[in-house]
Amino acid sequence: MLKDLILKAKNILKETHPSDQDLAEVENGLSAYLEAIATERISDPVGFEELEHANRLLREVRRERSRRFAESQAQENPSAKLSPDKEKPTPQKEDVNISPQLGEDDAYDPLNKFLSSSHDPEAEAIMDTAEEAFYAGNYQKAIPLFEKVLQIEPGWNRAQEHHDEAEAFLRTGNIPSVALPPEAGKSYGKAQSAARVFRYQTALNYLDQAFDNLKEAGVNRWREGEELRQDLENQMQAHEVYQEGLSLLNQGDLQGGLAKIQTAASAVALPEYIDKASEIREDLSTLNEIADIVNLSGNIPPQKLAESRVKLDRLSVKYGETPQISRLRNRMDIVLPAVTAAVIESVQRYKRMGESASTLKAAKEAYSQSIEQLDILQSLQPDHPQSQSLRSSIKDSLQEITSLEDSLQRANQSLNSENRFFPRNAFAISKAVRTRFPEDPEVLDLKHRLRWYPITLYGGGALAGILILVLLWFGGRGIAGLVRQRQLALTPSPTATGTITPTPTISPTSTVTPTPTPERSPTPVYSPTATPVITGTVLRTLFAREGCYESYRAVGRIPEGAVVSLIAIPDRVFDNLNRECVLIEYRTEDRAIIGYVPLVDMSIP
Amino acid sequence: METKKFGPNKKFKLAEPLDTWLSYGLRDFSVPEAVGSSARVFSLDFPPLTGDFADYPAIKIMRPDKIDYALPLFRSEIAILDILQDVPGITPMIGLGYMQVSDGVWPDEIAPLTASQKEQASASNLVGTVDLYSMDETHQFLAELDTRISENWLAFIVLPNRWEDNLYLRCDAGYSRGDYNRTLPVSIALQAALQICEILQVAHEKGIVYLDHKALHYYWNEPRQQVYILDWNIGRQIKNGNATDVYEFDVLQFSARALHHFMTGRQAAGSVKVGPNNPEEISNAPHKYEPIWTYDDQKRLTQDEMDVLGQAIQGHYKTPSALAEDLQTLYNQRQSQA
Repeated sequence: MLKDLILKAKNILKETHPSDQDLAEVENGLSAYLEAIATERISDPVGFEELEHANRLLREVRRERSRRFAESQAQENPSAKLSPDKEKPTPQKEDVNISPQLGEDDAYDPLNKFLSSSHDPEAEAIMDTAEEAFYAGNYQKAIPLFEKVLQIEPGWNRAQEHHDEAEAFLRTGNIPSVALPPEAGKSYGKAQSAARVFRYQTALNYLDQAFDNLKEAGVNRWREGEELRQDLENQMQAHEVYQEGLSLLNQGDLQGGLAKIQTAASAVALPEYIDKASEIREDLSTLNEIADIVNLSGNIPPQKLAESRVKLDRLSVKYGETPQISRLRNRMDIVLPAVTAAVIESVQRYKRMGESASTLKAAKEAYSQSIEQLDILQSLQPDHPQSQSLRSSIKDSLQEITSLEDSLQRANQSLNSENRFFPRNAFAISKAVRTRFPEDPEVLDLKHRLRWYPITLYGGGALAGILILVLLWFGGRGIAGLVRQRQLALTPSPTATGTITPTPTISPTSTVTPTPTPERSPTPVYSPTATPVITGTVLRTLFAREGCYESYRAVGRIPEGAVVSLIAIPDRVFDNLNRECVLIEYRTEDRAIIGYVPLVDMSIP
Repeated sequence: METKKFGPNKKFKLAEPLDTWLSYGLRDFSVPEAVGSSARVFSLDFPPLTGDFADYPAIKIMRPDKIDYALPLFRSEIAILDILQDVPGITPMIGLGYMQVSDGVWPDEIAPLTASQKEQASASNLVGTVDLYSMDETHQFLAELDTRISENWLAFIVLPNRWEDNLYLRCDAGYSRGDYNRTLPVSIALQAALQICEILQVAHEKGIVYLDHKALHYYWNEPRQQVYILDWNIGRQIKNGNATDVYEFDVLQFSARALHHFMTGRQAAGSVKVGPNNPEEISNAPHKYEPIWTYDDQKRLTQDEMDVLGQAIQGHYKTPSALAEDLQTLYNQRQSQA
């Protein structure tokens, strides 16, 4: 139900010109429903959002109706209609300050409607009127009414208090701003706001309005307003004098301007005036200081001259080329060349000091001094021909110093994290700074902390060399031993099958027993003496065969250069082409080949 | 970021002013003090940012004649709203961007209380281009702020339109005519003040102070019984961590201006008046206020309430939570009496 009303109100408000009847209908619907909710005559739960929308839309609809009603009232009374041509400065002159009352529910509802009254009805009715007049600031009207109330009901404290307050306001004029009639209060507020932003005439106009409103309400004395008026008039006069002072300043008359502004400041003590006077005094004092410097006899300190030049330029921008400023500028132009030459010399001297400095600190100080001198030169003569090249050269040197300083710092940091006996990174990082500033205290300290590095580096190198030599010597010996062992291992041991010597040896003389016996002496036996192994080298890759040579089956392949052992055979053997063969044995890691090979393909030592 | 044209026949349209009037109940009041010194605020008709039920948002635009003054205030407000986006009770930023007006005249500061005034006060005749940024692009927006302003763009923020009762109208004696029991009962004043303290506490914890505690910056949502706060442009981020005096000053300003106004119908004597206040005015405000009780105050408030309020405006409370604690006690007393 409420949702429907909300949607209806929304649709009506979206229309460009909704009819009065539609507006009244939807307003009645919404207000009746909301009243029913407030008095708990409807038990349907309603959410906060719906309630908010209903309340908001009810106000919107009522607002539109009120505007139309107020418009029609204004048309009926043309004098009250807003006229855009009405006289300024009042930004608005509309007479409609409150939307009109359309129903009983938005009427002013006095307190006694809600509280049970114990007062006399006649006194209460007069009291309502008196209170209305009292809160409207119409004390002249309120006082007799309160008196009437008190005649009927003398013990009504509220009436007595308000009567006394109203009398006091009229007698003393000490009316607090909250007790002013509303129109007068608003005008007074506007007057104060205008005064805060220095619109004094506007403020006075508003204040006059406030006095008019008070007069209409029968109040002839208002101390706060009178004080504000007095203050505004003072302010306006002071402002005029201040403006005259500014005008004199613009004409270059600093002394005259200061006098006027000082007068304005003394009159109203406005911070703006006081600050301005103080500012001009400072500027005058600055001009005097500049004059003292440019008129110095003997050497003029370049720093002071540079500062004076900057100040003079600032004052020139501020006040223009006044005669005093022009005179000072001319005098400054006369002394400038000599001072500039001295500054250039100074820059070059500090630069040389920096280049030959033996410590980082000294070098930095020298370069900083030269930069300072260059800054002075810049202030004295911004377009000096040497200024740029000198500055860039000094900046490069300073950059180098900074980089060396940085390397020193990094070396120290690295030293803290590295092995103290072998700080290789710190040593490398700090090489440049150690070379450039060997006598710098920090460099000396670093060198002290790096002292183990060369000891470790060279001592370790020597030890490592010796160790390598020892290792090489032992290694060589070991290898030689291994070779010998290998060769021994390769010497064939006597085989289980005895070999027959190629030429049987017969004992040279048979021995006859001393006693002849019919028996023959036993046949001498071949002694199984080991035959020395003879080796040979195969001159080409060939096959060992079962016989000599081509017509026999190959038993194995022997590579060129292989070392083979010759096996003794009882007879010499030849192949079909009458080439002699020898019996050999060729051993590899996994097998041994025994066969005949041509003698011509062998090299036998 | 998307670029759009705005004007009478475009999808992005400016409408009636929202900074010249306030509403309470079913009536609207012309309130000249509501006009901001750095920005104008209008209703915005732009479907992607409009709710389902004709709830048009508000667009707060930098004043073209006060760029230098408004620029730091906008920068500050956007940065603060970006940080406080999800805090309950804050009127959150729902869009932001830059605007360049190519045609049309800025309307005068007129409260649209009649049909013709509505037309006269409307900014619907303004024509130009907007670059609209989403909330995710806030940092990019801020990075471009100086450049854009130098190129004659105006920064703007889009916010939900506060339709609720304005607490200035509900509490100020000039409007309520002393009838506080109907317009702003003390229990609601205490409840609203408690909620504001909670918002301030969160803001302080995030290094932000509000400072501009005039009653017309607070709205009371009756259905939700919730206070809403807007306009953070005088507020600032505290970059220096040790700045307890600034936070204490924020609590004092709240006490002297808003809390005193809610409870008595007027601000503490000597405090900065309601109006288009600038940051210097607030920073130069006194650091202590003397309590002055009128006949109405004594009739309306209990002794405990006057004691707490008196201590608050004399700078007794150093943090919002400390003040909230005492306000809670006073609220509980009121509830038990009811």
